[in-house]
Parts: sequence; C-alpha cells; structure tokens
Amino acid sequence: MSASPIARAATISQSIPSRRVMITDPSQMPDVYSSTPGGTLYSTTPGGTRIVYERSFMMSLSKSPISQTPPKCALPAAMLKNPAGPVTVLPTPQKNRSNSISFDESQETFSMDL
Amino acid sequence: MTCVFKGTAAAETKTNSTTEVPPEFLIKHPLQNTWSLWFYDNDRNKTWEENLIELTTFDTVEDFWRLYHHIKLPSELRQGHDYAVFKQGIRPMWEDDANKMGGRWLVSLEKKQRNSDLDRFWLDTVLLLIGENFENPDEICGAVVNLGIHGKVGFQVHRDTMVKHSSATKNLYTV
Repeated sequence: MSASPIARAATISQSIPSRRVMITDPSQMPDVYSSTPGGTLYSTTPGGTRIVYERSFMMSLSKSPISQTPPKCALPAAMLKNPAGPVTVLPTPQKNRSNSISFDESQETFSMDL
Repeated sequence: MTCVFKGTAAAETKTNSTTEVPPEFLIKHPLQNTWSLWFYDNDRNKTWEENLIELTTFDTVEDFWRLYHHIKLPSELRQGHDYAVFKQGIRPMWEDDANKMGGRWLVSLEKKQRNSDLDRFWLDTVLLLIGENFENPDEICGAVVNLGIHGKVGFQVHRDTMVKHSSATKNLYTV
C-alpha cells in the first residue's frame, strides 16, 4: 500500500457517535443556551475527545495569577530556585500582563445593539 | 466572555480597567492525563531506585506552571540530578511494565548548549507531553532531562519507555 500508516489511519471513516436523550419535563432542559440536553453538542468526536492545548496557549497561562502561586507539595531544597527563601520569594511579576497574552479569545469582545 | 452593551459601555470599561483579569486566568485548565514529577537525587548512600523520588502530581496547566516557576531550570541543576515527567502510575524506569517493550528518543546536547538550548528543549517537550501534542499520545509515557556525568547534557523523550542511568539497556537505544 502506498499511503503511510498514519495517512491510512487518518482516512478510515468512522461514524459520528450519537445518542438520543428523552426529555419528559422542562426542568430537564439545560439552563444555558449554549448547552444541549445530555451535554454540549460538540462533546463527542469520533474516537473520543482528547484535551489538547497549543504551546502558545499554555505559555500564556503561565502568567496567570494561579500559576504564580507556590506549589502545595514539599520539594527538596536541591530543586528549589532559591533555597534561602523558597516560600516567600516569588518570581518577578510579569509586566504588561494583559498585553502579553498571545491567545486572545478573551479580546474578542463584541458589542450588541439593543 | 465579556459582553459590553452600548448603553453601559462607559461603566463596563471602567470595571475592566480596574480588574484586568482575563477569564482564562480565573480557572484551572484540566489536562487529559495526570502527570507525576520525579526527581533523581544522586545520593551515593542510596540505591538508584531509592534516589528516584516521585514528588507530586499535576493535572492542570496551572498546577504545572506552579511547579515550573518554583523549581530550578534543568541547566541550574547539579550534575547527576534529573527531572522526569511521567504519566501517573508509570515509574520512570525500564522495569515498569509500560516501558518494558518500549524505546526512546534521545537528544544529546553539547555542554555549551546547556545555557542556550537545554531549558527551552525541556519546556517544549513537557508542553508537548501534557498538551497531548504528540502524534500518538497514548504511546508516550514521559520524558526525562538529565545532566550527564561526562559533561554532556542528555535530554530524553521516551516513547513507551524510560532511561536508567546505570542501565545497560540505555545504550541500546542511544542514537
């Protein structure tokens, strides 16, 4: 066969998983418009859903305040950046935090006409 | 997501400028897998296996960064010390069932690259791992960075496998 194993795997067709959810009462409806009964419309893809993150997105999250907090676990002194004061010394805060986010989904603010 | 309505635009802008926290910064982003951070201590009074310590696990992008920001970069580690990041439940050694039949990719760096490339290669590899960006993520068990005793900087990516310093198996896979 001429195609590579990867190319062949990519072209094998799979049916899109589907399921039927019966609604008997309005209270079973999700309370947000972006959701559908039984989960979001896009919650399953052929072969299952995998949580994948781009490098640039993960890099942008490194500047999140949560990411700056010290880890909960005890770490050996040989590993710590500053053995003299590992708990009190925090990395220098990032400048221009809001400008440095390469992942700018949040900036897609839209205005709505009333 | 921020919605700004025309009538209240002024007020909204004001609040935004005071808080200034993007929504992605308010939550933790879950990873597909839970990963263990291992540290190899190189204490001569201990056996190889005793020196290998599983320090903690993380399963969100933010928890990874919390560790990363507070531990030394690989280039700052003492000679003989290692970091390893492996899927939880898989020990970073060939003897583990998940690694037994596997192999590894190995990137060896010159000593002069220790400052320029090592830390970047290591971070990119770990981000590839935890972000599930390898082509066959289920085949990947983990990665190790180790500062070799002969002045060489070794850097390993493991496919269904692991390295052990003193293991003879190691040499079979070295390119």
